[in-house]
Amino acid sequence: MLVAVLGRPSSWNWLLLAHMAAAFFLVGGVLVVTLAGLAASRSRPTSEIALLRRVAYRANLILVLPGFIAVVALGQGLVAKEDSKGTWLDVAYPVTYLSALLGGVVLTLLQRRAMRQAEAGQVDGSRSGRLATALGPLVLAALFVIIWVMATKPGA
Amino acid sequence: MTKYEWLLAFHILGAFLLVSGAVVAGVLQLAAMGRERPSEVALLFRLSRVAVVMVGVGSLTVLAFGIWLAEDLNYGVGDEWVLASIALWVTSAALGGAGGRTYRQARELAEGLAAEGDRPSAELKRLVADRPALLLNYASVAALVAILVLMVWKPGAG
Repeated sequence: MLVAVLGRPSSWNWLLLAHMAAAFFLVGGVLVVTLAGLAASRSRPTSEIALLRRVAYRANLILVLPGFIAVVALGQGLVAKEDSKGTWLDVAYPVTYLSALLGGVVLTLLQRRAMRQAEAGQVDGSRSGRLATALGPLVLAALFVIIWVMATKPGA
Repeated sequence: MTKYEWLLAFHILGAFLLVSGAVVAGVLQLAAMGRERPSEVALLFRLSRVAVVMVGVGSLTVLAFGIWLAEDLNYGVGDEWVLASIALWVTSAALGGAGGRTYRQARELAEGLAAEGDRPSAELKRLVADRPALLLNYASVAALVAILVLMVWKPGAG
């Protein structure tokens, strides 16, 4: 990103680099979960629904959950180094923590349950599947709010 | 919001579309490598077409707003780190495009096989796991990482 942050001492540039790399993987993971969930919610053979739920669950487990942990930990490191304050942090923190809880923990559990049900052939009316499908886009929308707040830093 | 904030916001949104789209394509390609049935391979590659659109839109957005932003901040397109970034952007797009052609062939073959009995095929398996295409995609992602490094450190920027 051209000129992502101006005037940052190079001694902690690696923190920003790692924070952004983790954020890219996190958003990519949530996108996979969202796409696979929406595709699984369409009428299709049970084996395909099971495959899509498996892809979504693994993306949740391997990309989304660790992605949230890395983004938050590295972001905290940056805030501490730069002594950042402002409205943008007041917005970013609660939205991030809520997204991490819903997207990282709740969604992973829902995906696991939906995957198990699909593998057992129970796909019709799966509440876990419907909830997981609905939650993915919500978490994605929250992430884009966070990206916007991080980029523009209102009140900084 | 100032002009700088708008430019930066769209530049970063473009970057997220580009890189996250590449992550999505990579995950779905890896998932397809583990499947035997053509219908399942076709399903995963059809999903990855959304990622291809994201990468395309993101590439153009990040470049356009990046150049505008550089000009707005008086860095200039002629600065070495900006020039190097643009060269890496071109390299990444070319490598990703070349690698993607193999996967388009794989999707078309998988769709054809799925309609004709959905039996596993050695040719499809070879295309999905094609090593040169995989290496081209890895190199494309490596170029994106190099751009990110240049954006964060801005070597030689005044």
